[in-house]
Amino acid sequence: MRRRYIRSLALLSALVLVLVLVTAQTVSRGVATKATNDNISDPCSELLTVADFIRTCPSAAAQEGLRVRVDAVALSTLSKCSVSVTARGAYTFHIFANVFRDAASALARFHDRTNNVVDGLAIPPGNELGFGEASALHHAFGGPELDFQREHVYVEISPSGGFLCSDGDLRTLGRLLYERVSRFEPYAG
Amino acid sequence: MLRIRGMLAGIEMGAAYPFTGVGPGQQAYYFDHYSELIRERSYENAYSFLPARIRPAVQNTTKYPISYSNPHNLFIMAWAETGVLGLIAIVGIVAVVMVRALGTLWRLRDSEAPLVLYFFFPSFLGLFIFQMVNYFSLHPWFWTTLALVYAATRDADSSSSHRAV
Repeated sequence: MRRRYIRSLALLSALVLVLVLVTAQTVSRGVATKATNDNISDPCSELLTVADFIRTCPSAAAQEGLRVRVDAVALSTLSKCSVSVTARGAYTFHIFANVFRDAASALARFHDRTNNVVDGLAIPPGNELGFGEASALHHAFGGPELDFQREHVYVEISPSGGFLCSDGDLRTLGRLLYERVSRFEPYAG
Repeated sequence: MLRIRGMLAGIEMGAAYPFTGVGPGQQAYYFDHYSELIRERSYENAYSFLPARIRPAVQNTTKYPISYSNPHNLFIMAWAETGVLGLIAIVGIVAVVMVRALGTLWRLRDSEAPLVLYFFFPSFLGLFIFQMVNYFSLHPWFWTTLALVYAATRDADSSSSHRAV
């Protein structure tokens, strides 16, 4: 009985492991998932702290369990610095800094993301917020989202669900990040 | 489409933490990062292995944050949140109950005795199929029905062995 149990468990584990390995390998094929150089890791880890976030979005101070998590990822044409600000109750706030080789690629991404966001909704191009080479504040995904481009970096700031930062505070945070993204060197991969 | 994006994000999440996952109940805090990675790969034609009919739904740049989507699958959620050990446990629990119930139903297929398993097993199957495209595992219905199928299987097994005696 015991031997049969162990044999079944081993067979099940082997089957699950093979399935998992094949699936994960296929989905992640050919794409690096961790930053391979420090060009992005260091400035990414310094992009935003909890203290910065509370200073720029004071309403978040009341949230319990506020924390910041940073991931730097190298992909084939750009590096991505992903900053998650989360609070208890699954309130999430995400900042994605996309670091390209040149400003033209970053601007192209800005136009792609702001002109094709949701069916038929085009966000007027330009520099509405008075900072960044191109910037836009919109509500295409339910909550507010601030997008801007500075040189070779394109940034999306989006409070998922919109609970952690108001529209007005989002501009203040955007200005802080506009200064900080200048630390990113162009993508060299 | 948002389900497929969510499932891929869940698979990526688990692949990043294969042994422990991101932690039970934690996927909501990690989801947006992995959903964004899947979105980004649309620019790289990374899903060319998918059938042509599904590919456009996955390979596009629409944004799906956690407020819109989640891994949408019981097993992918277990993989993302608890890694390979949790996945083996969930697959094991479901497989044991299903295989045993199917075995009993097959064995007693000619029996005229009324079996509650005839009611509970299809109910469980319905909830299980629902779990494949919608995350529902924290709901007590699923686990209660699973337990009832197990109990009904044991009951049917012991009744049939008594009748045989």
